[in-house]
Amino acid sequence: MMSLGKLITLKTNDNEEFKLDKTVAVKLEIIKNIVQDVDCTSNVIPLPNIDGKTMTKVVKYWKKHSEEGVTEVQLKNFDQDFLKMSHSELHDVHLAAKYLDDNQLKEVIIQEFLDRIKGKPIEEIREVFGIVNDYTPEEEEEVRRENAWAFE
Amino acid sequence: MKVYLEEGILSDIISRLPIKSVLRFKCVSKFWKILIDEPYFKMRHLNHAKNDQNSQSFLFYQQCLGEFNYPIYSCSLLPAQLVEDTHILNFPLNIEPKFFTIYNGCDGLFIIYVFETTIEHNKLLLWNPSTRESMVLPIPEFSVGLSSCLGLSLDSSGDYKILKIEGNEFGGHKVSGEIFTLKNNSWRKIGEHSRVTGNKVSAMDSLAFIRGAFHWIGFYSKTYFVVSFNISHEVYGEISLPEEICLLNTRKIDISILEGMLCAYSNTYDQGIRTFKVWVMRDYNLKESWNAILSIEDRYLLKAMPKYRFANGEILFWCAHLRGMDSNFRTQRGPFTLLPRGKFQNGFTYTESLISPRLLI
Repeated sequence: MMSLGKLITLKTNDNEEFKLDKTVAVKLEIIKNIVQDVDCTSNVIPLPNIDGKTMTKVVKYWKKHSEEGVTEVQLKNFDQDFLKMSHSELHDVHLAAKYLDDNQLKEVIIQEFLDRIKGKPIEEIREVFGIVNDYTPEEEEEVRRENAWAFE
Repeated sequence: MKVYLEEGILSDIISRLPIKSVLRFKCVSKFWKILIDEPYFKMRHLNHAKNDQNSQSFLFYQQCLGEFNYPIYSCSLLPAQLVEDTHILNFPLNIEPKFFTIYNGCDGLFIIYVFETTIEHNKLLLWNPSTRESMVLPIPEFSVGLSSCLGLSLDSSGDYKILKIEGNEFGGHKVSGEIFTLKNNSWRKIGEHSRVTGNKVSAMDSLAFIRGAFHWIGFYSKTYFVVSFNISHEVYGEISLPEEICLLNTRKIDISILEGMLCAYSNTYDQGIRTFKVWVMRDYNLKESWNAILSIEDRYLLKAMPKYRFANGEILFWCAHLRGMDSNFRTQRGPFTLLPRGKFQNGFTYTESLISPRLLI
């Protein structure tokens, strides 16, 4: 159900426009500040750091989490589905959430990253994050030895 | 699919991992190791852990006089993980001590006083059981006897300090405490309290630290109260004990910290009945806010000390119990069987941290 708040428009760096119910948008710190500063009814707020593909996901998340009467269970199921994306997409959403100062969304993403790396062997962590192992075998062995008990 | 994480999110993610994973991840790359070794990152990790009820740990140990086998255990305090997570820790620096006492510090750090056959060989260690790092500190000018108690905490200028208070249960003569500043690596005496003629610290685990001050029980003539000593400004204060304890007129009182509050407890014996009672001070230094949270009558309960309060209100306490001699930890419901059985001498709750004892001096 749409409430009667006014619409504002967010414009991403690839010129995609998102018309948002103001009650959804003002939840975000940055937007709240911009909205307070200018009479926003006709204004378009540019988001130079976010692309349309990422913003689509963010807006989807906001809308669901602002829905009236939505239950905890529904949100949990929604989040589970929402987080089914690649590591790099997840990273982009995190950067967007950071730029928009949305701590809740940031927290959800970090938790998902944690779940993805928990208990994984070192080699797999490197693979996931695209990290080149810059240790020589001797150096790596040394670091392993210093923390040997952590590998037990 | 590869992703190149920016440093901010990477540090955000790693700072929430358990210590063991963090240490393992030092092997991922040089950059990860540098990130993890940074003092700023260590503090960030600690702050996360402090705010996370799930990352409370418990360290406990057993002592058999004359034997060189002293298992020290640590485990998670989450009932679901407790059993699976319990592991044995080696004594730091491969020492095989004749006898030792562990004092709970702060930020995941512990102090161990190692007693050897001759005083010159006694040792004072600063130990982080989560990273297994330790270092030897100078011992106090006056030896640490069985009647003294130690505490470790961070002062307002960011220096770690150790306070040693000598007990004199029967009063009569004044004894001064000593303070050790890790940055200066030296001990010095502190001023005396103007009124106190006796300190009751021998039955304490560690000096109770809260609100920038250490606390213990002091007295003059027959009046008992809590003495506080602010470690940043080195000034004393006094806090009243619960009214009921004052009326009991007993010496069997002690204090500790429970759920971040000052906690007082008594073990009394009256006409064949032994009672263990626990209070917490809900508002610091407000006498009226002392609140009784536990009272157990048990004729077999010789002595008990509260250790931790679980989310469901159950209180874990150490005790000397005449029945069920193989288990020293109990709750209101009876022996706490999730911990390995054995005669455990003591136990402490703490937050796991990456703080390195070696980098504090």
